[in-house]
Amino acid sequence: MRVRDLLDVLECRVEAGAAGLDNEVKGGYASDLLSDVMAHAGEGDVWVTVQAHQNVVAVATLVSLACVVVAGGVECEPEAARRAEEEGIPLLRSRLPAFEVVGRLYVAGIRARPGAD
Amino acid sequence: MLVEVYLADLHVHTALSPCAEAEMTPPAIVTAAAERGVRILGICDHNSAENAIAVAEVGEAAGVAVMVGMEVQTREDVHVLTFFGDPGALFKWQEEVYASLPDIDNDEQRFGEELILDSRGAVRGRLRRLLLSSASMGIDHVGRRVRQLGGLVVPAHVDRPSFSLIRNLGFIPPGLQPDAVEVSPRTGAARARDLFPQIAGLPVIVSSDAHRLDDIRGHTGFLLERPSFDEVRLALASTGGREIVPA
Repeated sequence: MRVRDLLDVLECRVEAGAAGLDNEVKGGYASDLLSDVMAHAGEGDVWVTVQAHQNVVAVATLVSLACVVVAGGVECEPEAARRAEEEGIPLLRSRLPAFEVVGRLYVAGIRARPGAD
Repeated sequence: MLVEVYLADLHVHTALSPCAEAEMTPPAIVTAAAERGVRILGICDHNSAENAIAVAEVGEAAGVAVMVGMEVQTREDVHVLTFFGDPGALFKWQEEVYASLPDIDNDEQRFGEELILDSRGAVRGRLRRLLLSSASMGIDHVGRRVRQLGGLVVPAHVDRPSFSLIRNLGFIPPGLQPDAVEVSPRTGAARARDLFPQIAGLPVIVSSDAHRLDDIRGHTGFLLERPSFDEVRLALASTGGREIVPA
């Protein structure tokens, strides 16, 4: 599954980083603590969060995530969008609450990666 | 220039913070500080500064300098200490923080009282709004705005598992340039530097985050000419012969 396949599923829009829309989605992770994501998310994960700070993009780059979904209609900070564009990391924004986003990803076949606990 | 070591506890709550004990009145806080040799207090209630001036008034009479400020909870659930040398700037900042907080009434049964006190410790009123919420402003805005208003920005208890800049956002955001970072006494400055390479190059202060009188302690020493906001700012920047020293 590619990042672009998630757009309809999650009813989300691409805030920035469209260059990465063909990234392969290998798994999923949900957390709002960035230190936790740095420690436990895996390469190729879709990350669901309500944090929208510029550090989100830095973490996504560091862990080589497939994309970030900012849930709950939270506004992305301009600096986060700027960095996502620069890094080519898709920053997706969904009006759906994080719970619903994760549920839809699961139904679409995305799973937590083994060892991500 | 004559400098000497002043013991400081820059993170003390008053009974305005719902999670603090009712014993945290201005006179009691100053007395506890003076008894333990603390000569600089930072008063930082959650998202509010309603009691800071009352503590400063008591402190002035007792020879305890008070840095007035507040502990802001940002959009990212990060706690940041903000200090001001000038009450005008402090209350301008408080207005902006209030405007940025969700309008939720405090439930005293559940969260505790939010008491506004005078310098004798008498109750002047209660805050209606719940202070234990996140402001809608992000940490980068807080940093920029407080600096504009002439204040100091110190991310609080960065070593802790919650409400910590490092826990919540992973590392110090580029461009934030805090004046210092605060760590808990349990971790201490030296161990914090080992545990969190993210704070390399930043001044570290240790404070109590006291919510009860017993916890007030001078965990940080400042080498200063006199105990004032401007001198502490110099010490944090390690300039003019002022510096942070072991307590």
